[in-house]
Amino acid sequence: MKIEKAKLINALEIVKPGLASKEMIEQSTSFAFMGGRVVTYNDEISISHPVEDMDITGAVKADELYKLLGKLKTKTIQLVIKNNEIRLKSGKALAGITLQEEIQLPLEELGDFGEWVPVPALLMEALHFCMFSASVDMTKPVLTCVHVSDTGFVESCNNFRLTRYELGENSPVGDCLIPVSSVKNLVKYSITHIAAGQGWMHFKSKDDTIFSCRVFEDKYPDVSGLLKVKGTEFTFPENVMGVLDKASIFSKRDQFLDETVQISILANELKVRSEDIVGWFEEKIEIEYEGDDITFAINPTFLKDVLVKKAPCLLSKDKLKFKGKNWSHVVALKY
Amino acid sequence: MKGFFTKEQTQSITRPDGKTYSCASCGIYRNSNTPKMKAYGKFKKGILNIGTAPESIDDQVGKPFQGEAGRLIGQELEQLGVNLFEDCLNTNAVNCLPIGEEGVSRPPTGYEISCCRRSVDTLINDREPRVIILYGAAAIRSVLGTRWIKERDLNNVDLWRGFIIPDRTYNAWVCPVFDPAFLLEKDGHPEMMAIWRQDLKRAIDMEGVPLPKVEDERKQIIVTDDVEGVLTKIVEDCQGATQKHLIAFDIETSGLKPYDRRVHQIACISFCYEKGKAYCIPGPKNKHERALLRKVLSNPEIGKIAANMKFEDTWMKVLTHINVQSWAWDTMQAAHVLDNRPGITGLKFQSFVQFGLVGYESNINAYLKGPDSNTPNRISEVLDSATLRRELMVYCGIDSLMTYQLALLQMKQIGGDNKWQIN
Repeated sequence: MKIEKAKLINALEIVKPGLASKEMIEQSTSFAFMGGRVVTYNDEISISHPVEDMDITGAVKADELYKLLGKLKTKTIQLVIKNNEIRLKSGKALAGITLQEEIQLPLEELGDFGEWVPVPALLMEALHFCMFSASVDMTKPVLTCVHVSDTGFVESCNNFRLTRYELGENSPVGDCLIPVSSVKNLVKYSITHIAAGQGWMHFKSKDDTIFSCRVFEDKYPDVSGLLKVKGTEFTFPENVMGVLDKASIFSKRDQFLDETVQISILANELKVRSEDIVGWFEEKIEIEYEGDDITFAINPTFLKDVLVKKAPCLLSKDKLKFKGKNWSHVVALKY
Repeated sequence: MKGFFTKEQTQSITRPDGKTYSCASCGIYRNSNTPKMKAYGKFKKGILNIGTAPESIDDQVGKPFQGEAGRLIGQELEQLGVNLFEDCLNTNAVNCLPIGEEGVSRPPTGYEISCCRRSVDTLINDREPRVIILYGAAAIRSVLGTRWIKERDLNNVDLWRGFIIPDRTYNAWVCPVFDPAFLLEKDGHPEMMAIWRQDLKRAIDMEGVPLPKVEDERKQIIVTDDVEGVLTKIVEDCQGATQKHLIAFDIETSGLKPYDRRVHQIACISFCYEKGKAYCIPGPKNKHERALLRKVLSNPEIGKIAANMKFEDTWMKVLTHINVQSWAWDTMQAAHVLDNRPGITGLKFQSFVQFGLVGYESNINAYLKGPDSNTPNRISEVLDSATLRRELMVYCGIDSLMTYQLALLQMKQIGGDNKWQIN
């Protein structure tokens, strides 16, 4: 069969986040082709996407297939199944990769998908906005999730900062806790529909990608009281955006959600500092401020996002709060 | 810097360390004839039996409790007027047959138990049993493992067996007993069999007994800096009674041994002398406060209760020069008198097994442990933070509250003449 290489690579890229880094589960580092779709499963998330013109069933080692496709020169490739191999012919190049005909991925774990319902209009934006405040500390498992409340908001908290985003409509799938490790992949897709399964949440994109992720079946702590902040208004200087750009060079971490810069609001000066293993950066900006000294850490991407929205900032003795049209972000200063 | 939430509020029952515990990651279902075995039984009396894992015969038949161990349970329950498959629902901590390298069944690992915990938890929540009998360490680990933090205790069946825990999470009586497979290994050792039968009977007797209603202990604690007000009230409340009053008290300190007076301090003291209320105040800071405290603690008309009175007595003597008079009860000693198993006399353990209260120390525990018995712990950090300080005082108050409740229970169990007035 003749396959358009670019289309196949695109499909594989879409499902790649569902691959495991180590094969703890059989075929979890393979692309599984079945029923006209390519599927990946790593026990935390599973992604499937249609692959046109590929009528094969079996699993192929993901790394080798993906790398090989990237290096083949022709726009189309000839694909043949022979002797338990998937053979790819591109110009004069011919390659064979073992095809495990039996799909051993434990896809039954996904259970029944339930009914697909349209995703709330602001859900994906809310998930994207809230993921920066979720924790990566596994000693507080519930806080490593983004909470989609059945009463119409999304929130996350890493115990020192929290974000809540109002959806303006109730969640059609009830209350759920989605691990932020899944959310950061999920937000890359144009999701249109959602379905609640047993211990899983399923999302469908306009391109018919199905993204399934495990959810926590726990109760999220009530953060409502923490959102109440009374204090004086503080305005970040406009040139802080440029300073944040510079500071983010030295805030890089393995996971972008872990990146932070340190902001100090001192007497008549605002200091931005960042450091990583390569170096550090610090810049002071003159401001008019006579309150108590305040220092907090924040993700630079998130802070820029907040500042672009021109949200007013309230400073109290122990908290700082940004309040947008339909969202709030609170940072603990001294607790 | 302390965060917004307590550790307790951020824990997950089904994924305690955030990792995925799933059938796929466990994998033992692949070698089972009956993978993910369903619970079996008509459940007429609302009793849930949780064993270790399916035996080979269970795996072949497709139902739990079909083997020798299941038969032994069935026989014993029959003697108690309970039919295993009619009156009970039966399942295991692990619902697939664990097979070792040589193809024979083996005990499940801790990881496999964690992977299967979700199904056990879901079953309990869905079926709402009134009595849950835990047969052996695997079942204990499955049901109590996410709540009891001392890992080594979870393998020790002897520590738990025989207690009838009023489990607040599951709203059921949780009753750990020996694993019947262990008794079969011991060829039905007569003493162990007798203990097992007695434990089973006690568990079955709880069928139909409602769980005691409890109020949130945190709401029963009055935290205040009004040292004079509280101590004066205690003296007033306890004076003039025909019988001596009993008062439980507890202190939170900067270490285990108080002898280096330069570095040690009593951070707070709590008192409980009636059910449903305890006071917690800061440790005495001046002569006046010490004098008021002496009026309570050296008052022979007020009987003192503590959990490990040697500790309270020594710290008071060394740091405040107060000789506590009229010691009436020590819950640790009484717990030992009632049951001489090692490891069960501590207040936290007793609070859990007697009253179903668990984990109230989790927010503060890390600060109370010093590197050794003479070096100060991290209590000064706690006192620097208003939130943590309050948390410490609530914790201290709950200690007194539970000490008082436990003492009253033990007095009832031990019996004898009661010379104390009990509120």
